[in-house]
Amino acid sequence: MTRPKNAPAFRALRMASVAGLMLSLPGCFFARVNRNDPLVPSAVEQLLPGTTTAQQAVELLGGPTLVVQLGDRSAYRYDHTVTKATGIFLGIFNVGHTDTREDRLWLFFDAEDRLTHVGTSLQSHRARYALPWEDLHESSKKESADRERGLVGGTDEE
Amino acid sequence: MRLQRGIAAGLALLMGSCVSLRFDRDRVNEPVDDGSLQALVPGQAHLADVLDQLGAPTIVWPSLNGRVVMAYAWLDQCGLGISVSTALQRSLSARVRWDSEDLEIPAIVVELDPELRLEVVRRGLLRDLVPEPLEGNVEPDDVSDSVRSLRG
Repeated sequence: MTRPKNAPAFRALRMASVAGLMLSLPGCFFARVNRNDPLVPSAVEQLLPGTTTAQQAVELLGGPTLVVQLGDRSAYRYDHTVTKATGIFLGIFNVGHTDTREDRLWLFFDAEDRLTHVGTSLQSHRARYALPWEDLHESSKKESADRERGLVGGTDEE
Repeated sequence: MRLQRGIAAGLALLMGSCVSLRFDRDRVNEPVDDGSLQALVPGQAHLADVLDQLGAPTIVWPSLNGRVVMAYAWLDQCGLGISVSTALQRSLSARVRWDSEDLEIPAIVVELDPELRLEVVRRGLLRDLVPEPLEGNVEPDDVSDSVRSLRG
C-alpha cells in the first residue's frame, strides 16, 4: 500500500472538513428585548375619570410615550413592549420566530385636561419563546400567563 | 483537485457564509376577537364601550371635523428568504437578499364622531383603512410605521 505524496494536505483538509461539519451542526438562540417600563395595574387603578388631571396622571405614571392632540381634547399613550425571539440554525437553513406583545394604556383628556376615558390592554407577559409552527393563542396558555401576573380573568382586550 | 474544490465549496455552503435560507415568522399582539366587535353598534356605542370591548388601541389620531380614529393592529406573518454573499476583493463583499414577505398589517379601525360616539367599524388591512387626509401632521405611513416598529 503506497502513501500519497500529499498526505499531510489531505489530513489537514479532512480535519477542516470535520471542523466545518461541527460548526454547521444545529445551533439555536434566544433573545429578549424590553422597551419602556412595565405598566403597573395598581397605578392604573388610581386613575379616576372625571377627577384625575393630566398633571396628576404624569406625576403617577411619568411622561407618556406619545401625546396626540384631538382638537380640544388630548390623548396620552403609555406602553411597554416585550419581544421574545427564537432561532434555530441548521447549516444553511435557519428558522426564526419573534413574538411581540404590548402593555398599552391610553388616557383621554377633555379641553380642561381632566381625564375622561381610560383604555388598558396588558399583554406583555404573554410574549413567548416559540417556534414558527406553535400556536400561541391558546386560551389556556394565556390564562396561565395572566394568573402569573396577577391578572385574574384576563385583560380587557379579550 | 476537483475533490478539494468540491469539499471547499460544500464547506462554504454548509457554514452559511455564501448561501443561507431562512424561514421566519413574526407575531405582534393578538387579533381582535369577532365577538367583541359584535357588541359595538355604530350610533349607539360610545368611546367608553369601545375601550371596554377592545381595550387600548394601537394608535389614535385626529380626523376631519373633530372626528377621532383609533386602530387596533396586529401581525402574524411568515416569510421565506434567501441571502447570497460573496467576496469581491480583499475588503469588499456583496450580499443579495430576497424575502417573500410583503408586510401586510391586519387591523380594526373605528371612527368616532366629535361627540365620541361610534360611527364606523372597519376590518381589513391597515394601509387600506387609514383615511386620507389625516389631520395634525399625521401621515398614513406614520400609522403603519408605528405598528411595523413593534416587530422588534
